[in-house]
Amino acid sequence: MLNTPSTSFLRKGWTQIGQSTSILVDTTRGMGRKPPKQGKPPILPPSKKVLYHVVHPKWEKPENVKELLWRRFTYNNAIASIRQLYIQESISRAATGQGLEAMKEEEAKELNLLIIANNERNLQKAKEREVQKMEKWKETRQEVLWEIQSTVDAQAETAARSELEVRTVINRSSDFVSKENLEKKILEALETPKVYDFAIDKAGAKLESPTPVKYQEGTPTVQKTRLYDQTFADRV
Amino acid sequence: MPFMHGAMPLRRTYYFLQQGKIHFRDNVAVFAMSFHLRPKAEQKGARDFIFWHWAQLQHNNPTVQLVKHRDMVITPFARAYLKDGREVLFDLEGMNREEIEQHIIKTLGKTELVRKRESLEAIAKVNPADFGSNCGRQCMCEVQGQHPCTGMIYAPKVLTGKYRWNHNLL
Repeated sequence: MLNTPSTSFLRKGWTQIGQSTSILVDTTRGMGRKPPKQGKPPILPPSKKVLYHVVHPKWEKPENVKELLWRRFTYNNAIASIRQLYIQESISRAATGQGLEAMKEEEAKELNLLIIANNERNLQKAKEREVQKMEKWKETRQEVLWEIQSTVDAQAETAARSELEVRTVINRSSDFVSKENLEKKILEALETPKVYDFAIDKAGAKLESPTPVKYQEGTPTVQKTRLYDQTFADRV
Repeated sequence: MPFMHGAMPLRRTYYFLQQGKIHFRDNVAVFAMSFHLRPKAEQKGARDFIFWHWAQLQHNNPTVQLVKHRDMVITPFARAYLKDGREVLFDLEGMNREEIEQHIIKTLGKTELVRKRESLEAIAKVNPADFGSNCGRQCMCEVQGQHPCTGMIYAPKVLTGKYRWNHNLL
């Protein structure tokens, strides 16, 4: 305290221990509560999470506990005795060929029989399927043959019809126009003109055009409509 | 397939899975089945069987490998591969779902004899040294001379984890 006025020049954290000596003393930690740092959780009271359940059995009378313990031992002894009996019995049965091994052999035989029965059934089904397949094949074959037959028949019919048509045409071919009879045919056509034009009215009646005149006589009328117009035909 | 529409979601229920009747024998290693995605009338049974009973098969036979073949051959079939190398073929053409199920049960399912033998084996398998929920004793501490559970009595300090390991390191 005597040197108080002279320590005023010291920097913060420096302490003077003698007249002319001073050392750096670590700053004392503040013991007060500080706000938590950024991003850190605040100081919280302990959680109330229950990690495990502690069993607190209720108090029972000593005589009851004694009785229950006696029963437990009795029960356990009985079970142990039964097991012992069972083991002895299974050993004796195994000795006489009736134990678990014998049962396993019997099981294997049973499985063999079941598999054989299944195989027989498969074979039976295969046979049935073969028969069905053959029947279906026959049906299909019949159908194909029938189709072939019908096609051949149709072709034969067409051929006969075409042949008839060709023969008819051949028969008519004597009348056909050729180089030799061309002049004659032209003259015939001029002498006997023929009109192939016709109409059909609403009732379905065929209205032929009137036969054209070979030589025009008098003053020809002005044709205003078709030749088969019967109202007009009289004036032609 | 919609999530909860129609009869299909029934297959997803635990109850339905438990209703499966086919429990394969221990001899069966693999069970393969061929079916058709667009079945004809005689192939419909196999398709229905797959639809309704495949999940049940998986649930009830966790140790059997189950294989599905789609549209492989014309005839729907099932083939089981036994552990001894044999193969069992089932011709499923023209059978409906129930017939297929019954036939498989009859041939490869557990019979009364198998069930009886298994139950006897389960009884014989009881080992007095075992402990746990399904055994003679729940805990090792029930045997006289063994250390009691720490739920009943405090463990010595040297055995506690708080003493043996420095938890402040982590």
